Amino acid sequence: MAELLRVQDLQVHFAKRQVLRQVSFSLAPGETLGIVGESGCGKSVTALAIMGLLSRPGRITGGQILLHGQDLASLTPEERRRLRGSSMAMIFQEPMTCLNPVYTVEQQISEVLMLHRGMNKKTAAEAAADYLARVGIADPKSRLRSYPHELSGGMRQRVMIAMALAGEPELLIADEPTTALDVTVQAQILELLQRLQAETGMAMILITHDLGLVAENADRGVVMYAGEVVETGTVAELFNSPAHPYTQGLLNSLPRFGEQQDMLYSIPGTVPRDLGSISGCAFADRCPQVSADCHGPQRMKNLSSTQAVRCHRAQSDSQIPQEVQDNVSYGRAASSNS
Amino acid sequence: MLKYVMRRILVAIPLVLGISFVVFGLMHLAPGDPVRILAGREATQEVIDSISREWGFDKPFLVQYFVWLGRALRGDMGRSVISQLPVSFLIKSSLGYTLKLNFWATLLGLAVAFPLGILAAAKRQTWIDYTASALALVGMSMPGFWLSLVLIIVFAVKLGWFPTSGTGTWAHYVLPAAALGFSWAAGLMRMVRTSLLEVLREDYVRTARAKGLRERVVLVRHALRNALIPIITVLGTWLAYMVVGTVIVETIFAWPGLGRLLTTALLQKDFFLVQAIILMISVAVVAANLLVDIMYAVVDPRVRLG
Amino acid sequence: MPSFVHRLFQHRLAFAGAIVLVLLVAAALFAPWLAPNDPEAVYPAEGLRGPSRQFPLGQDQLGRCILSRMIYGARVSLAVGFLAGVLSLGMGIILGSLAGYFGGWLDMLIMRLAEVFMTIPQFLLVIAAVAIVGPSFTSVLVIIALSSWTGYARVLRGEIMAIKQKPFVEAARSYGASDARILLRHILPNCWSPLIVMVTLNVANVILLESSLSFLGFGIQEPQASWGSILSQGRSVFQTAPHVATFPGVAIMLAVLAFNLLGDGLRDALDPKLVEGE
Repeated sequence: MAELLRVQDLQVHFAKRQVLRQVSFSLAPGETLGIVGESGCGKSVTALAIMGLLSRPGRITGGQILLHGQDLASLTPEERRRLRGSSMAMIFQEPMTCLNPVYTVEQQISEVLMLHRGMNKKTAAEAAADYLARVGIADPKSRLRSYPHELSGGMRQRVMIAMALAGEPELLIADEPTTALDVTVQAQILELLQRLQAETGMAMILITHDLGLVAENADRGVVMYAGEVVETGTVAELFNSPAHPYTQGLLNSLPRFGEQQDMLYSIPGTVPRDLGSISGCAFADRCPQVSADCHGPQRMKNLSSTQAVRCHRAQSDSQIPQEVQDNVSYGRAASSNS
Repeated sequence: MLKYVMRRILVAIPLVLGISFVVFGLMHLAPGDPVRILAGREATQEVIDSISREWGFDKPFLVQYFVWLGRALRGDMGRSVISQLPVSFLIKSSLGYTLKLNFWATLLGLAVAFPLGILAAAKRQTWIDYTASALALVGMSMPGFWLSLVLIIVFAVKLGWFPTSGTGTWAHYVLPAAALGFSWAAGLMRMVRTSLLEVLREDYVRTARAKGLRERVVLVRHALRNALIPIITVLGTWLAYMVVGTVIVETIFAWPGLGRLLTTALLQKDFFLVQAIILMISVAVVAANLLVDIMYAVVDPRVRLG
Repeated sequence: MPSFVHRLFQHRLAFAGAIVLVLLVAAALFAPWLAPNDPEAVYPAEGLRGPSRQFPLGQDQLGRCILSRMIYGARVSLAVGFLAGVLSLGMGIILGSLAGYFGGWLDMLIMRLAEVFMTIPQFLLVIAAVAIVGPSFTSVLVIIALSSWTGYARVLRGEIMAIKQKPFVEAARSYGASDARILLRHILPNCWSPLIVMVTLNVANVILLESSLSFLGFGIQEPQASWGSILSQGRSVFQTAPHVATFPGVAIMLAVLAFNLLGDGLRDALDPKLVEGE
């Protein structure tokens, strides 16, 4: 399968503080990759680095990002700018603040069409209405004249999606696209993203802290912790045979389908802040299965052709704790733990 | 939109009344009869009596105020006790000079403040930013009268490029307009810079970058347009700033405008004239603030409904 | 508090401003020991001489020592600045607290009054009032203070209205604390940061205002010296003897700049949100 995107050993520093240590994954055309982890583990930074949107003092300090095999670092800033909005588009967590308050919906969508698709003002306005219709906004012609403050959060996110689609991207990065929305709207937006992806054939990176969303919407998943990838695999592998204790912890903290629970499990402790001082496994001090070996360097270990994990305990026939095996079927995570 | 403007105007009316009350009340600050202050130093008892009768100063305070207000509303603010000319005539003949000078000073200020402020924000934490910000701080801290004197010494006395004072040719405008515009421009530049830096951190600026827009377009179309909203508030204080500058600069450069009219009137204790000038300028400030409110509504779509 | 002091010290410009201010205040306090000459001793024969060994910054029309007059003038200029700043802060606190805490018609009245005082350009109000009352140190000081409280009152009122709603105030009220106690113990301590910054910038503004007044002849009167009045002396002779006007101008600028720098630094130090790159 031809690769659309490959991220190889990506490292990012904010001034002197390291926030990404070694992030590697790849993405095929049309595929959906879920990136999961608690907040502060580097998901959004990874997305911004791919887009070339890291703002000072953040900068890439190692590794590569390849699009169709071409290293993005070899491009001029001008060439990277042309990729943004056309080859790769991004939608963000906060639809309330991501639209420019002083411009109408039409102005903001048309801008992309005029920039990347060479349309003039009139054709862009017509096309903008089509895009609004495609993202499920009723009465698109009159909505074009609305300002962002006149729209609900769900509507604004739809407008963001329309703006992203307008450049006909091969890759859409959705950074927690539903976290800020009502539960009912969340489902609609995710459904919309899936439908649009089927229509256009674009690949998608879905960034979330909710493993449940990955189960429902992604083909494969990447679990990140403290600025590095700790496990990758197909959705089935991550749910049926999670190899990293962190992945297991995330799974355990999901509400279980059809089961009465008094309390949701949560992983004790918090994500470490100072990544520079960590030599061994970053999860060691929160890990229920910690041992002496955890404090040495940890490498990614292949468990199958699609699953890999950064944990010295994992065996090829991964030992799965009984409690996790008990729930092979997970329902939609109805509750969000943000 | 029309409703919004009407409501603003209605709010301004009690404010103007309050201002007129304070300006009128000023004359009662000194112990004794306000007529003695209004009539000037060298007034005879006859003059004092006639003014007192004409303006109702033998009546209670509130009656005095309403007599005065009624006449002011009809454009009659009394006569100068020095020249005996109507105050409105004296103001009219010097207003033009002040407006022309302020126009050029404002234009100069805008032309300096915006490009420098934008540049400093775009190149933040570089030597360009540091130089521009330092210049702005010095400009804000420099007293206008001292700047005027320095400008005269350097450009008029030493270099002889421009005249030291007076009016006539375009060259007469250069130094007073620079002295008047510079300190305002310094404050404005700082505001443009901070406001722009704040907006540049907003999510929608990131969205604009994610669209692949050129940095210049991001800066001007997306960031500056939003940064203008707080900057307009500062433009509202423009007149208040200019007033101080105008009084000082016109006095130093012997510019026959309102500012010099005021200092002359103050020195000659010509308080009918003083009252009229302060009232007029304050009402102009109200009008300027009204204009700012309307500008808000034009720049920020969220204001229109509210 | 230690972290705030630390941040302020890290702010190099604010630190420089603080040092300049300490030096100026020291000059004012120790004027009799620092001034090389009697500031009011006249040497008419030596009028307008440039800097010399005995008169480091030269002499004015009457041959008085400009440096000595500036050192004594610092007392007047800084005193007006500080005292007017503190007085107007006091007025602003009282009026702003009344408006913000009690609301209703009192709030309405105070805020309308503030609006009137904010609309009439302060400089005009002050210069006219001083001309009517008669210029002196006290009249300049009181009139400036009376016309600068509005900013404090507005900010404090806003802060109080916001804090009034917070749970800890509700809690204090629920166990029966009096209005005054709630105001002094629970609300005011939470409003200091914006007020401190405002005082600093306000003092800078007052110094500029006083010097402008004195320059135009409506401020501190001869033979007492303030920086503005020395500069005013220099105005009539600045084409032939620029040194008379130059040095007091530099002093005013330095003082105002120092207050501005300190104010900026305080704002950054007290409001960590604004620090860039965090």
